[in-house]
Amino acid sequence: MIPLSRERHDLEYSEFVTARQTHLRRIAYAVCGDWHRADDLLQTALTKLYVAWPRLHRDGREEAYTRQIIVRANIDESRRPWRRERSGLEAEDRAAREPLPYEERSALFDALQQLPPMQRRTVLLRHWLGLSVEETAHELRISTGTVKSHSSRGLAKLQSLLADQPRQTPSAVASPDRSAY
Amino acid sequence: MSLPELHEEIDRSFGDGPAHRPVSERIQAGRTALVRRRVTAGVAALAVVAALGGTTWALAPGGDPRAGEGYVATDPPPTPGESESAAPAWEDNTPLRYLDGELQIRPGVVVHDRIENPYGYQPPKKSDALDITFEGKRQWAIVRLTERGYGYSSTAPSNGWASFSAYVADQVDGATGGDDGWPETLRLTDQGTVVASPGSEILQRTDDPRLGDSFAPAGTPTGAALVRAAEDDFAYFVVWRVIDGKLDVITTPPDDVVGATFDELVSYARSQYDSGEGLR
Repeated sequence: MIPLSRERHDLEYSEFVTARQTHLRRIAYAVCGDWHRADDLLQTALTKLYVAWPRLHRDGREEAYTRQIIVRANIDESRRPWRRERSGLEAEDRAAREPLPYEERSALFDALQQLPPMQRRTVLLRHWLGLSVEETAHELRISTGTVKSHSSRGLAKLQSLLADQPRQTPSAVASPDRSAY
Repeated sequence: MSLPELHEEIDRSFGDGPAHRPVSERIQAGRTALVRRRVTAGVAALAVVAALGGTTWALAPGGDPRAGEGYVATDPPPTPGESESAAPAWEDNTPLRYLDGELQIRPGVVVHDRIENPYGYQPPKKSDALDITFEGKRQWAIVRLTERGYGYSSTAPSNGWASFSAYVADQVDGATGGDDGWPETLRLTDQGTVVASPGSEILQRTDDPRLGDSFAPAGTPTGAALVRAAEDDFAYFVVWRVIDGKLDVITTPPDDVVGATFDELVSYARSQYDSGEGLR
């Protein structure tokens, strides 16, 4: 009578995750700068996506939704004071979060990580992911004027940081040879 | 550097990271997220009890709640004139409670981590989240003290969450509305009644549809309705329960409503909860 096709649900979800998880985790990594936290953010977002899959998939909003959860979860994380207060397992976490051998990142990426968080998110959403001012404002839950301000200041700060590293200007960034994702 | 160049430069500025976990794990996490939401809500409702007077808790000698090695809650020695019998008995299966506004941890419980006041309550309301081992089983738990007494809920670790802090964050988000991807259809009034959210329209409705104990304990306000959502103008079949003063709405896809009468939808929901499958 009422077809709740779990097989179809899981198949469609699997196809989406397989195709897009690398890109989505790169977004998480770009906003947080840590592969372990990026994986946590992605998993949190994909779990929520699974729950909401029928409607989101019907509307073709699965990727936008997942990206939104990643970015907003990152914002929420940074705002939670108790996250900084945690100490119980921090020793383990620190040991597990040493830079990883597979991690390759350029001076540009390091400069991005030095931007204030909202400037970094704004620059990434606007100038890497290509979202409009309005879309970025919606994603970050800030006004369009604030998006413009963050974007302008973020780009200026980025140029300034890179200018302080004359041997690693953006055009001379040593970057891994990546194929399109 | 032009903006198009910036796009390319950012795109090339870092790699793809380590290998992904298997997709099957992602699916399993999603499935357990559906199940544990029902379980967590049910447990919370059952555990809402009035705070009683009695014992307190203390750290084992040398124990430190922030030491990271875990500590064991023990009973403190009774003070002169104080009888141990004054301590109220612990409810079964309850490792945490509030007493006289203070968090108590059942003797013998091992605490691995604790996040104080994740809900950001103002006194006298309180909240705590703890990663504990109770009766040999590790669990992540949240206990809250409100004007209705204290409520306790827990889950097995990693049951759909990447970490303890992710679990806590999800519970906090859920308590403040969250976003499960469905349009808002219903809201809870200050008087405790469930009505259509602004702009939405209840097409059909029944209160107390007897969806069974797996859906909500007896006495819990529940209902089922066909609601046209303001957000997208689709009709959704929803069931709801009000637990610990919080409205929990479970929404089914509008495609599943087509061709079914309201009575059939209610019967279907009842069978789904009878079987333990549920609607999520």
